[in-house]
Amino acid sequence: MSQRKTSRNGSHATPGWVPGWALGPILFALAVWLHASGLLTPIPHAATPPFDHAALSTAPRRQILGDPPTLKINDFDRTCMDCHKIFKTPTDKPRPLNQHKNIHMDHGPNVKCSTCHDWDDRNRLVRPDGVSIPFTKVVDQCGQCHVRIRYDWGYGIHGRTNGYWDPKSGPQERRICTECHDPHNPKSPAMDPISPLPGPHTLRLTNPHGEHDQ
Amino acid sequence: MSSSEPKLDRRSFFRASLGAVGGLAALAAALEPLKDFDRSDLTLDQFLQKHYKEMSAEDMQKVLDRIEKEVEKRYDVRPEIKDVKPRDGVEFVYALNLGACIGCRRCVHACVAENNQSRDPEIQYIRVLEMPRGSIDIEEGNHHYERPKVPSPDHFYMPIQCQQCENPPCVKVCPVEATWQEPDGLTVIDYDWCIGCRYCEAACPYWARRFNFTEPSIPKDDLNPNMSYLSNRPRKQGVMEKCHFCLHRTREGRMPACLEVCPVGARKFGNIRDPESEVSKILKNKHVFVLKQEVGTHPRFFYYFDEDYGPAIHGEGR
Repeated sequence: MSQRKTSRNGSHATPGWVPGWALGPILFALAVWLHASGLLTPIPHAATPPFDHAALSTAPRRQILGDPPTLKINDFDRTCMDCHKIFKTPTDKPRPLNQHKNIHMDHGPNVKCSTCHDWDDRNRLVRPDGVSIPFTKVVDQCGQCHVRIRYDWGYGIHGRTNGYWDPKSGPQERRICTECHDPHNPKSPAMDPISPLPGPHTLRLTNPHGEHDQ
Repeated sequence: MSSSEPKLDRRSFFRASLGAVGGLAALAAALEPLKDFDRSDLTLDQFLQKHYKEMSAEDMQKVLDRIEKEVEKRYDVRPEIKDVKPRDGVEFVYALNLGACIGCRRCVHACVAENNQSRDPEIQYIRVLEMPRGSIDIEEGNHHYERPKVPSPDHFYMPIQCQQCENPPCVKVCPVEATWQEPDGLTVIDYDWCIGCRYCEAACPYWARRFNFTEPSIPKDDLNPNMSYLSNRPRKQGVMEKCHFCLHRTREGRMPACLEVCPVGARKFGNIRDPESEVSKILKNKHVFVLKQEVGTHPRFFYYFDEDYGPAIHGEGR
């Protein structure tokens, strides 16, 4: 019971087994130890790694062809027909190409150019039902097979809509198929992988020991 | 010396005068901050400012002028600060396609740039969880993924930000009514009214609120001068902030910054009261779900998977 009584000098601040005069040296020693051990130094928060702010562009990921499609060739604007009305393509069979070697064709059963391209007017596309459409209406072309996605795109569920959510306040920019997907080689997953930007470094989210719970 | 007349002896005189000097010094020290009252961070105008809902149009104009001056003094940029009011017949809803999201964190940084968050330490409203495919277990989610390229074929990605709840727990716990829900569904914060108690941060089941532990630092060149009172004007140390669906943009009809930058079109935003809007079509046609439905917050932020396509469903070799 004497343990629970106050110390000799009558102080109530310390339990009975610690003499009052010892409290100062104990706390001082604790302070010295904490200071020396480095436990008191604040954990530095990691600065956000720098990244290229061009990544925050809202532009579409692919450049698309207009109507008529124009290409810069030796600083001159050329349309497809500028060449194709002179150089007739001999046949529509799948074969190694002499031109357009950058095109890697991998789109399921669509192996012929004429599945999509208008054989008589190379500035335009052709739908399976034979109707010729400009490159800017490529949605109608893709939607012939990808019907469900075409419906979703029409509602605005699939694809990107930039600009104004309220069409009365300003213009809406609807991205069309080829502004994201490569029509010759539509990949799966549909998008090219890209590098992620830096993750969170807010105080509570910082992982000070650099461990990643992968 | 006669003992009958009261006499101040030497000891009590020193004791009393020491006490008096000490008391005066303490009083002077206590009043010291008042000397700098007009030069300190808190000006008299700020001190006497009324609550947002009690301010008249003229009051608000005065406050906006004052904040513009303060921002110009600090950042050398003359901002345009507005007080954009909610529109009638508009209720904002967000929808996010988890089948399309690739976890590139473009939205996170477009948000930081748009909303003038502190850069060091960086405050991010949106956090992207990387989760293994096959379940939606947020406990398995990883904020700190670093990969050369995303998406990883074994994971899917789930961005989380303020869910703009219909029944917001953060608003209920605020002891000073510094945060409230607006008629268009946005829960907003008056940064001049917040006392920094962080009750709202603790109450939010989505971990959507952020606290300015230090004085926010924004490089002068990076300041977005298009500001509004309730959204992206610069904050001070000791106040809460959070996503507000970019209300300075969306109340003028524009899309939020996180949506515009999304390279895959996973984010959809609009007016749920308009049956022709994109979000209405999504809620009608897709299987949507909300996060932590069981806590009864009724979020205005919906997640959905596309049944027919998307990397999270099909993966490679489709």
